[in-house]
Amino acid sequence: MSITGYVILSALLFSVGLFGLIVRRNVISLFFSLELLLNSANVLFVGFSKLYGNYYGELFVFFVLAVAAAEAAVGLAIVVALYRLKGSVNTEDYSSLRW
Amino acid sequence: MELNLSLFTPELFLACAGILLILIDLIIPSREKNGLFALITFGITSVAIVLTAVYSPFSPQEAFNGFIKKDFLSGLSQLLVLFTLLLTVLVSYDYLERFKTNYVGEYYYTLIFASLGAMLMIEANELATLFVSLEVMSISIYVLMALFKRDYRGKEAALKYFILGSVGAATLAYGFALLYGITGSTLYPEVAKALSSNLSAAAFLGIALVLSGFLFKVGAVPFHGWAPDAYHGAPTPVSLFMGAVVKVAAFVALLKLFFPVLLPFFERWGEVALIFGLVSALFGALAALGQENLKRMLAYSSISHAGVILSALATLPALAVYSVFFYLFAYTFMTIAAFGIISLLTVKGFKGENLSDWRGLYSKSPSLALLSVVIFMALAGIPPLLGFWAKFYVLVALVKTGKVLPALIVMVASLISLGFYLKPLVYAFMKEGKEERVIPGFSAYAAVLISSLVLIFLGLFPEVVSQASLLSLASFLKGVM
Repeated sequence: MSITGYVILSALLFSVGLFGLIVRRNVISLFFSLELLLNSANVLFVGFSKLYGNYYGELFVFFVLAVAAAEAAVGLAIVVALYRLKGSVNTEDYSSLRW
Repeated sequence: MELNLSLFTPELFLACAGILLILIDLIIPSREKNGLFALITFGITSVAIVLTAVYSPFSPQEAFNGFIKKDFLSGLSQLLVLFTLLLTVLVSYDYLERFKTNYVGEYYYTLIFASLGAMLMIEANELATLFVSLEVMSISIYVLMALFKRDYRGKEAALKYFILGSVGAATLAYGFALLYGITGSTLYPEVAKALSSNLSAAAFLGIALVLSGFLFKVGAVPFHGWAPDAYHGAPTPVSLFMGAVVKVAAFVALLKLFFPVLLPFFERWGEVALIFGLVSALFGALAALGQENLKRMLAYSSISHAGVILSALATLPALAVYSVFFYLFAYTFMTIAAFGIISLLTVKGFKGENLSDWRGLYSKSPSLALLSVVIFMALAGIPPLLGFWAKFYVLVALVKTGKVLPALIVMVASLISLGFYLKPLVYAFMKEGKEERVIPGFSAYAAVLISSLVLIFLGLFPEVVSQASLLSLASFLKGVM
């Protein structure tokens, strides 16, 4: 796959993630979208790393993966805590804080 | 190029201490936990402050093969972060005595890890380091916000901050990927060198994404949506901590990233920062006018302050570093004092956060009412307090670079902000309230007192901060050129 392919693939993944974040109301789906956003950057890094032949990009991918895992753990923990208090994972039900 | 591990001593110390605290957490009986942990964290932070002061070189030095660069600017900013941690611990001890949580140990060492992330972010000289340290700081803060028992509000705020903050982080990562794709390196100097010879549409997009990621983190206007909810919902010491530390870390990291990279085409990006900054300054001030909850009001005011700092970024490179550091210094102490006094007054059921709870504060506790005058007047920028000098230097910098209209807009924004900073004082002094004594906790009171005294004394002698900013500017420029 040429570099254009990687760029197009990552741009598609990023757009899908952004679209999901805007459209979905379920918190778990929001998490999926966040993972897509982070991993679209990974695709780009891997592609460019192959192009340049150095390892800065591939190293970055490992860090992004680790960060994404930590984020998912913390985020799911927060959702579980919220579900216990509220009994819902729908973002529309989390609306005690407003103007 | 070498490892130069000794330069990294303060951070290593903080990381080891944090990990040791996780182990100590297992053996301390839960009844004495709060006091002991506050004491230990206080001690660790004091040692870290000394170490950071010792290991911040005037002429820039690199460690880890150039992945980390320390100069005087980063040293002073790290001291600011650690000092915030110190005062946060004081405020937290008092808060945790009144609001129970099962996770006392976790609370304190997560604070340490968040500060470690902020310190790393300040000295990062490479994109991956910057990204990871940013996330260490942010994830720690998401955890801190959700730790309290039966506190639904904090968890909702944590979820909102988590989702929007992660979008910001992902935007930043995507921007970094594009910059790497254009330049073939993630080290700042090499990125800067490659970008100066080639300015394509892709580079434009990459820089725009990175800039929006940073705007997310500092809560400037198009990406400010999370800030009011997060500041309002979080436990007050955590609002204090993130209000001060995230701003300092994000703005210094922005300076260190954007000055080498953007110096060749500074004009255009300066304009962008200026526009976003002015809009945030005005929007924050206007939106804060109608708030009934003090924490929410301070959140909008922090958006406004972030806007002023952003517009200071748009002045000439030298003036920008100087005025941004000065403003950050003043802003840190103002935030500590303001959230600290709210935390002091908060009792069961979050009473004390609303404007109406401040009724008759003067008759209940004259000293607290007088302190609140100092704090809110400093935030509004009334001379001779430190907040005035911060605004003054930003205005001078703007006028010196021929941006008179932006300077006027900043002045209008601070005039508007006077309107809502006066409100709690009106309630405290002029309205009658029920006669009941306020018994402030000693440690939180000490924190508020210390930061208010800093605001007064450095307001009378602004040369001290001004000299520090000048030195950090000189050291920073030495590293960039």
